[in-house]
Amino acid sequence: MSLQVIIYINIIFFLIGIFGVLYSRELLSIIISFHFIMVSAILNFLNFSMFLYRQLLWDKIFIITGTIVIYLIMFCLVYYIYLVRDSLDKEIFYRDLRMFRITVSDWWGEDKDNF
Amino acid sequence: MDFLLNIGEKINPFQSIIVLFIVIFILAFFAMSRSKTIKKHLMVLVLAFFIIAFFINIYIYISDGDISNYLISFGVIQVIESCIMIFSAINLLFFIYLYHKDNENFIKILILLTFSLVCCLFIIISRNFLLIFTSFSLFILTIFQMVSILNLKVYKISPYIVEYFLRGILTVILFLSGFSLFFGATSSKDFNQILKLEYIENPLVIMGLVVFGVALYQYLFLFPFQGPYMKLMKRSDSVARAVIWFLYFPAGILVLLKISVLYNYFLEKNNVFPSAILIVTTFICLIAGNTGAIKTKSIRRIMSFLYLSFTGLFLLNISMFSTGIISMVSMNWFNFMDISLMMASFMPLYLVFSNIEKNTAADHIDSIRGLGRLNKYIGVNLVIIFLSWAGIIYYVKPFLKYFNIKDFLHMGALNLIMFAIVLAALVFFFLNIFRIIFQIFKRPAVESAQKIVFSRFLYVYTTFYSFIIIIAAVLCFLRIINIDIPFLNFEIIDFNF
Repeated sequence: MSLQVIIYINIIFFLIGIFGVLYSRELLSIIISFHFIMVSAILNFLNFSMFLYRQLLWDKIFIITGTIVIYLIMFCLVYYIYLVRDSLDKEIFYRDLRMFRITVSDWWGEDKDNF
Repeated sequence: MDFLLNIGEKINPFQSIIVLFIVIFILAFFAMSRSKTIKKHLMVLVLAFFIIAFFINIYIYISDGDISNYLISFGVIQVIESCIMIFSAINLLFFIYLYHKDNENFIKILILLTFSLVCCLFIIISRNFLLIFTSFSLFILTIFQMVSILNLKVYKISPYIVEYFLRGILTVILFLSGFSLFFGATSSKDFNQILKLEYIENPLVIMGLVVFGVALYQYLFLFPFQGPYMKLMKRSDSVARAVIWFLYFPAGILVLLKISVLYNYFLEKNNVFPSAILIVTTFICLIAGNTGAIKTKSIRRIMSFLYLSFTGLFLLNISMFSTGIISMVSMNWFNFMDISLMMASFMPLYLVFSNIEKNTAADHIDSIRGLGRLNKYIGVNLVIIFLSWAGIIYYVKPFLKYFNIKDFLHMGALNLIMFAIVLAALVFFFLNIFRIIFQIFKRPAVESAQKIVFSRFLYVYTTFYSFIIIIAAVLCFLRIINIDIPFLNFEIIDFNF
């Protein structure tokens, strides 16, 4: 595999991730989309390091640290959902969590239930 | 003594951070304590250490000057930014004590606040990509923990917190992508290294900058992606709101200013496309923020919308720089002035409105009706604070530069529309200010007249900020009428017309 082919694969991963983030409604799908973007970034680091910069150490440290930190935040978010989950909060699993939804309600920050 | 001085030199400029780590270490021993006395003493201890960190920060710069190595960069800009953030944290400390002193998690909240401040200081001084990324990610994590712990007893809020912080996670992941592109294009490890390269206009660098721009845009919940922010602000606990306003947003703006070192290279060339995008975005933020605040009757939403429109001013500064209206130095000063204005006005307003909301148990603009008549002192202070926002008019003159007012009649249709939007934004902005002032001095409703009680602390707090605003206004006025002030080396009206 050449540098160019891997870059093309990266772009596809990145675009799938972005599409998923824009389109997904469920929490799980959104988190999977995040993973696509993350994998694309990690492949970028490894790819450039291997083909252009002769195996630097810095990018490996970046990848390890970055992955740990991102997983830590995602873990905290998911753990928080399970921690506060009770009969009232069950709706979060069925809720429309689209990240970039632009409706009149979203624009003004008002909800249908007007809570 | 020499031994201590040697240690001091070696840990430069991390002294203030080490002081904060000492606080975290002490707090950790009492994390499970529920004793009110211990809480009170720890609060005083944390406050003292924050103040020490504030002064150490300034002292290091005065004694040792600029410090720069492969990992960090510490100059006058970093000192100002660090001081702003520590000052903001001190205010948050007061808010936490006021509203959550009986909370069983009080000491844990203090630990999180201190840790988020440490992360924020690391963001400010770091220059290496790895350090910027790690500190920013950990900062978002601590803010998430703090917001969730403060909202533990708020009914059905968890979906809104999740929705809000999904954006934070996306920002971090996009940052990872952006850094990977910078690494691929240049193998550089900080922004200054990229600036020195000959092939800086590499498409990968530009792509990386676009990714960073998108990441920060959605981190700051700028229009039209403000939905989760508005919903969380409407429901959230009052201190959680303060954490988002005075810690989460300023940190994002500081990261934007850090990355703007690289943006400035492209903007300095007066490229049409970035300038056009920035101008349009600024207009959307100003117009949407102010019209949104006019539409709603909820005080929380009014303040949240106005906060977003203020955030749009940072984009305005950058867009003014991109069109060559102001220099880079002026842009930096404008940004610091904006952060200071936001802090000095929003902090007392937040406290007064939160207090009213707590007293009347209602989040409606009618709650502040007649406040100025019932409590003249607070009323006058609020008017001073609201009128300080009229400082925004210093933007009118550079705005007009966009449209070349001399050839007004020969303007294209698009420019005329833009000009109308700017005027509309300013009109709506002043309408908002006068709407609230009018409400404050309206005849009070009989049933809510006696409900509002203000503590002594609130009087002192609002007076302090009113004084700061009055002093700043006097100094600016003296400067405008060309009376020289020795310690102000910043020209307020220094536009390159």
